[in-house]
Amino acid sequence: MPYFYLYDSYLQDRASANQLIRLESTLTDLGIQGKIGRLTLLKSVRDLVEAAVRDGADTVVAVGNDTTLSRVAEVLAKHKTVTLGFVPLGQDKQNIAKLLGIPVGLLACHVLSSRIVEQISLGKVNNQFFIQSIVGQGTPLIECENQNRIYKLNLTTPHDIKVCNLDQADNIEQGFVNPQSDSLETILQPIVKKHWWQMNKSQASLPSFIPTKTLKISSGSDEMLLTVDGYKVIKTPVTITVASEHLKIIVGKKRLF
Amino acid sequence: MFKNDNHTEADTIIGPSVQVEGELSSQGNIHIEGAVNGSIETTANLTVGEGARITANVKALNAHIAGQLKGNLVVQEKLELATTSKIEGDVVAKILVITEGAQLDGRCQMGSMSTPVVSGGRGNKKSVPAIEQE
Repeated sequence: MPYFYLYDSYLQDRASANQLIRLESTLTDLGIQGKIGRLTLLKSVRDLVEAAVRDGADTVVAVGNDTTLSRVAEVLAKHKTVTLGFVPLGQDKQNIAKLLGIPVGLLACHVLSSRIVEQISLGKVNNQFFIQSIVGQGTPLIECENQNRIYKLNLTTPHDIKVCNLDQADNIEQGFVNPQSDSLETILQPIVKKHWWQMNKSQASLPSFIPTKTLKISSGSDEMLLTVDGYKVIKTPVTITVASEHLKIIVGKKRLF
Repeated sequence: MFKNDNHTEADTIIGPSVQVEGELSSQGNIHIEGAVNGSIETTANLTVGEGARITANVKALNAHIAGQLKGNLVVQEKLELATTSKIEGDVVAKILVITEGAQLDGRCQMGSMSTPVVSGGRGNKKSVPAIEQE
């Protein structure tokens, strides 16, 4: 069962060197060692992962953070037979690990070794895959399609807009976002501006939660910026759908879905 | 369990700052605090909050209405009209609970879906005394 490990570029500093040595040692002990690729300015995720799959890897493990995982998942979406693994290292951008039930650090190797594989949905925005969410801010026009019925959402005030496939723990625990469902969850949170004399008053406004299969976001003459999976910025108009492709991913027993 | 005060029970929540235009359809629970123009259809429960304004024909399994609704309402099981509710349209439900202060302006059909209309007369808006039939 050939493994391929892709190290993110931020793990090249001296502080991470010892951790990577211990990681490789642990993987060897567990019998799941494999080839290693390191992201650099000259080597893209796509190049490394495509080459590894061509060489016969059937499990590609992203070693890094949420962004590393998202970038690898985007490439693997078209490789149905390849399973995605994740070893979260470092402290920044580690939200997905908790959802997948994977501990941050070297203990993640034991989750890889246990190899519990689940299939999760992927989102598609203008024909690009995403695994986590799309985030924006403003008052765009949103058109939803669900069960072949179309409705429009007009926002009366600026909102934080989030279209989720696999999102932060709080939402999943509330039962709002399930990456194994065939729908995306749109969360619209009104932006409440507080003045200093209102700081002690609670101004929590009820957010909207709308499950949809297809979503079109447009913003008239002004272009609105949307951030995909926390690292890629695109402009409206966009069409967001649930992808027909699924992703096989190694998860822990403590996963939240 | 149909819990109308618990937002997390709902699959779809329309907040007070959102206006929906079109055919809002779901197979899960719907909770509305904003405005809807068009139609609403769910195979589960519908909750309409006090501040909600709906101009739509509605179909649901159970419904709890506390806001304003213009349109016909068809509920397969239990319909509850809260004290703050204002309904302008015909109502069909197997079980109907009208709280004191609720306003119903339209025809009303209860019991089996095939039974004829019980009472009629649209036009004069007035408060309905407390009735509970289960």
